[in-house]
Amino acid sequence: MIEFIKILWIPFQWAIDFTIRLMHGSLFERVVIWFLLIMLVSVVVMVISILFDHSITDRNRKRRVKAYKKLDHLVTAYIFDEEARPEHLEELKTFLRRERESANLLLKTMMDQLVNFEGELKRSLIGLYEELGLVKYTRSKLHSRRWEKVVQGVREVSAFNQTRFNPDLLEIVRHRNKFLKMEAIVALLDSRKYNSLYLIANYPQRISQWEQLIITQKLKSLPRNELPSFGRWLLSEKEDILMFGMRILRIFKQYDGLEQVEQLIHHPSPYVRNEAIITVRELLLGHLLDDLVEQFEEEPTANQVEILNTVNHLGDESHIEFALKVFEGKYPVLVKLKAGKILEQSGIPLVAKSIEDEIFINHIKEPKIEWRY
Amino acid sequence: MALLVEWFFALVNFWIMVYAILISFSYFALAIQSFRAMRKHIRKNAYVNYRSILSSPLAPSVTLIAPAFNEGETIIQNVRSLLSLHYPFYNVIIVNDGSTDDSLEILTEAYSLERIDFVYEAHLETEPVRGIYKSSKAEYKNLIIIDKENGGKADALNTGINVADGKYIACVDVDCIIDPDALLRMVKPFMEQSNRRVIASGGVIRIANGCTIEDGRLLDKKLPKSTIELTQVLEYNRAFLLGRMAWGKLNGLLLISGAFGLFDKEVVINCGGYDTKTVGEDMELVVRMRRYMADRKEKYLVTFIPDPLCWTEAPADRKIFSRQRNRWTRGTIETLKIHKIMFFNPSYGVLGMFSYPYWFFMEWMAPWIETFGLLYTVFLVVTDRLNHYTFFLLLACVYFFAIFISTMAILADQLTFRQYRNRGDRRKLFQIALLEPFYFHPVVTFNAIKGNIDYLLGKQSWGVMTRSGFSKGKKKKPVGFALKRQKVEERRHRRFGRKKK
Repeated sequence: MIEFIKILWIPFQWAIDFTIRLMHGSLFERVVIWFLLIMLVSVVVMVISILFDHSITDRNRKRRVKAYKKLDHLVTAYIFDEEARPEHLEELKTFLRRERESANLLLKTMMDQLVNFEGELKRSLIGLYEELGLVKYTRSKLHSRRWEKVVQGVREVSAFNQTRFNPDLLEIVRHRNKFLKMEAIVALLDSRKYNSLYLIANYPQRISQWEQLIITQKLKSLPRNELPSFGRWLLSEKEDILMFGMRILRIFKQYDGLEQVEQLIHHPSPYVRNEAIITVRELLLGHLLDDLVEQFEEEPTANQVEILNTVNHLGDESHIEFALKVFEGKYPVLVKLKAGKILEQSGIPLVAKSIEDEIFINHIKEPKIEWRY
Repeated sequence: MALLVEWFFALVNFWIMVYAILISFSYFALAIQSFRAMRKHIRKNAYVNYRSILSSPLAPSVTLIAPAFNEGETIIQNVRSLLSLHYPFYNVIIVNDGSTDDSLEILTEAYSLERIDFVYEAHLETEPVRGIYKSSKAEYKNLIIIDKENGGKADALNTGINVADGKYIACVDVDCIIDPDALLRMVKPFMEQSNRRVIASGGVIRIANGCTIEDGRLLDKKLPKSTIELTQVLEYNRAFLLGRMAWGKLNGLLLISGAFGLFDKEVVINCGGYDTKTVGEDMELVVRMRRYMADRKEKYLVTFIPDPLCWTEAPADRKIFSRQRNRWTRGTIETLKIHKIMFFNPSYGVLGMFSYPYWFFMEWMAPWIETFGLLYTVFLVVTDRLNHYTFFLLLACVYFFAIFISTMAILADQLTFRQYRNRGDRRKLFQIALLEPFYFHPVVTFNAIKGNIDYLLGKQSWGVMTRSGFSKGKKKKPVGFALKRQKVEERRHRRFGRKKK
């Protein structure tokens, strides 16, 4: 029995020993013991969160789902049952006072519903937003220090069409956080404030392809006849804006400001010239084709390929000689293939002088190979 | 003389201590950096709609290149999985690297392949191509099969790069399970580039052993049963979530896993493609691409995404595991040797001053120092010079720190992507973290040392890497609703003689 107690006592003995050493041991000893203790406590804390985090988050999630369903029901009832509106409004107000994070959840519910509604129903939902005083939550989010809160605020402004916050949005457009900047631009576009686009056209940073994609997708969702002319962007000195401008002109088939394209096919940047060549092709600017053919030799391979694609698309018999010259000349494989395709599509017989030529011609004629422009 | 000996031991003790502190500090600092980077990534991506890429004409084109050697058993499913990714402009190139099995015949039959004449610019030198095949069916129009002489993985990838027409190339292992949205997520960093050119991007590789996989799709995530596989799950979590994520954030990433990485084709070609002479071609390419950009003084980025995008099969057999680790070590040494000019070279920035030295001291040298430490301890015991109290105190420190880092990796996964929802799975991972330093780490160290010796002996081979495949094993019996549905269908079949769909 005494032996057993002695064994049980060992850990306590260690603990006492450690404590004594922690207080009176050498510096090295104290540092190592502190390190061990910190490690031990951290591991215990982490293990507890690893094992029990799910139960907590699952419980919270279930609570949120329940509250969301209830709110969804209340908001729908408020919109469709005009007579019982005061009661539903009261219920919503009580909910807002009682539940934690209720305002955020209510805003999320309303935003989800707004996607489905138009006209009168949408107006009544926006009315509910005003009635419940949710504006103050949006305002506080817009002025938050945490960027993700600001994003939520911007999205609320956009969803509930709160034009009063446009000055705040214009401020955010100048924000150094690019993500936030884009959100503000999209929100402004939603409220048809197209001047936000001119702001980015003059922005000192380059506009990335991702940002271009977001703006383009937003513009696609807006009425085409309301879109401003992007021809002015072609006057910019920034390469990225020039390229984006030409892409937008192509996507929305805008023909004003196209006289600039004539200048841009001679731009010093090969990337800008590449976009200009594609614009010539897609907006059917056939009168620029001869200029492109003329500068073919000086262009890098990617641009040569695009010029040949353009010739294939817009050219006539007068360009066959050019295609033949390229096909027989010393050019990269891809360029020669494109030239060969032009000849094949124009009905010019391709003559093989060697086995290599034959393979080349077979490639051009192969129906299973896709020819992308 | 005795004083000199004492001085010598004191010096050795001091340097071992300094090394231990440095390595622990670097692991801890990287883990913290990873946590921060992951949190930022997740917060930011909560507001991103990746699907908008699908309908945009601005999405860049991508070519997926998957080398295959004797993958006949699973190739159809694997190709189907690659063909069903969500992305608007992409094509798939499967490079049959001189397989000795019937891979090509299987593919030909499954995808109605026909040999075509195909001309391409051979930017990179490769083994001869025997033939290029395309499907006669329009639904597989984005599939190209290249049949070539055997030249190894790097050579197969180079052939694929020559034929690829995408702006970016995704190099994948054909037997990996790629998340359907992987390309959408991987392409985003490239699209976000503004002032710095993104030259490569990597994602987290997870272990698929134990998971339920059907038709090349991951249906259920579970932990594997065997200890060696389980330990690798923990090890991968630690390496990807705590290590590479941080290096990605610091723009010091030296390695993008060969299982799945997206690269700027132009830069890959300009710097000469994959090196066919090394066994660590994935690491070597990334380092060379970075060096190429740094030498040209061009601003660039190599990014890393913490999302679980690719699931691979880890070796379940000790021998295969040993061969894999041996090869990884040789690959590391080769890469470090080829690019030794970068060692503490300030003109390479983070790469020269931090990444390269980290790999040199903390990855290559660590097994040597560990082995030296072990032998030194034995020597101290034999000569009765060991202070037992200090020894056990320091041993406890090392052990608890190892558990601390492993637990952080489990927590990182738990707080971000929650791959293992079952509490039992998480408990199992923690148990592995407790035991791993005793049975797994010594094996890894031993294989690293063996890899070093093999490198010195001039061994160049990959070693045979067999995989058991994902779809093996008995099909599960249906239960619950599935069983009921099966019974109803059988009854209907008996009654009306209809074929089951």
